[in-house]
Amino acid sequence: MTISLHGNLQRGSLHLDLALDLPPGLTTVAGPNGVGKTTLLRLIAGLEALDNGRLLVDRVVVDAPAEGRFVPTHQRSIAMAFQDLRLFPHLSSLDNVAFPLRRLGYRRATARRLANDLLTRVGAGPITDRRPVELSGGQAQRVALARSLAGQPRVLLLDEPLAAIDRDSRTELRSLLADTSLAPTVLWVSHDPDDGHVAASQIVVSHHGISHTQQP
Amino acid sequence: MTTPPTTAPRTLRVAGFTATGLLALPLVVLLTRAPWTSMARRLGEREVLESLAVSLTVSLSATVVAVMIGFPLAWALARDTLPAGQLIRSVVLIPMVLPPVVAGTALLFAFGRNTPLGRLLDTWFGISLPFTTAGATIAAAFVALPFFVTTVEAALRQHGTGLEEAAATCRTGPLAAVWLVTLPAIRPALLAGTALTWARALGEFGATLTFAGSVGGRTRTLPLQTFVALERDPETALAISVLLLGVSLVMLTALRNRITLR
Repeated sequence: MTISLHGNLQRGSLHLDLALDLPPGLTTVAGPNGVGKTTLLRLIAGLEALDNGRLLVDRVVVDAPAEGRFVPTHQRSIAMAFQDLRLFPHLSSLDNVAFPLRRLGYRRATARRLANDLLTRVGAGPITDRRPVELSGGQAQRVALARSLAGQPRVLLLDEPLAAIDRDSRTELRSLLADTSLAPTVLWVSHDPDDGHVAASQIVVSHHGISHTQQP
Repeated sequence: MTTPPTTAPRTLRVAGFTATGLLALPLVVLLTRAPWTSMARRLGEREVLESLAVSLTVSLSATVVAVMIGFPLAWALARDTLPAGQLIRSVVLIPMVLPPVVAGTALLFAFGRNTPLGRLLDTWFGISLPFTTAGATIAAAFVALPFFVTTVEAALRQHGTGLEEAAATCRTGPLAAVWLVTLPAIRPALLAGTALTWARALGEFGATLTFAGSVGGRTRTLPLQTFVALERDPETALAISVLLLGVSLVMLTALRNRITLR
């Protein structure tokens, strides 16, 4: 198990009871709006904290209020593609993607070369010089996806990363995300049932709770 | 540029023009009455050059002080990390609405020579604030600080914490995130806040005069020099006024064009 999450949290009217043991590979997260899919990702990222319980990533306790243990986001080996993208407005597409690589210690030239490769893989090769404000919705989403891949995380958290991508390109990007060399564990919030077909397991969040099924 | 058809009622338009006239008239008179032919000579007088040097030193140091202590304060207020944040915000805003002479009086009774704090500064650090350039700097920073804090706090609030969270998911710690992401993202507001702060510090008169006096070469800034010159040599007062008006106009243009562009 790469992620073991047992516990609960209350945020306003949202209450989540969690008992999840996720295998490596791709897991999709489905369910209606407002039931806590994004909160689940934020919890694993360390942008939210458990009220009670324990969260382990790769057998390391990263969140356990009873033990007074909480590893902050930047020290967890995670990366996240946000639903509202959150690209850095002052950086070009290329430098947005190079940003996590620079933080990992790569030299500028190497970081840019790797970032360029990633942008090409997500189909955003020709827009490297542009700033976020100059991008269309689909282009910006590709850049955000590439940035999350660039962090070389153990756990990749994707919050509807293909929502603004046209139908034709979806298939291609879907198989890219199923490629486990990008990150050992991928959690992918998606509303498209087709996305589930490439996944190793599926989480369904509803008002009644969370269920996890592994693909046979 | 084409003018769109206006729908403003006639009376409002007339009132608007009147107000503009009232604001512009004194400035136009200033420009027409200015001693253009002897401008260079008057601005080159030793006293004027001295006060120009004092003004630049005081206003720039005050701006540096306001930015250094203003940014952490604006950040803490915007992120609601301070207990009693609302109260602190009101306190920070007070110098904006306070009569400058009151600000100067308050500073004098807090840091004056015969006050406990003033004596402490003197015996421990050998610093005396009243009637020194350092004192003039403190006075200017005191009245100018709110301009920086309000501008930057508004920008930080508007930006929210989204980018800082994104930076954290890119393996960036909180301090590095502020430096690498937040500061560049609010750059226009930082520049605008700094410019407003500097303009306010440069124009400071009342608090400086009350707290630091008008000592030639040490605390007599250009505004104070203008006031002194009005009695003896009104033409020089006009010349300095035109210079300061010019600086203000350059500032305003920069604020409207370059800084607001992203």
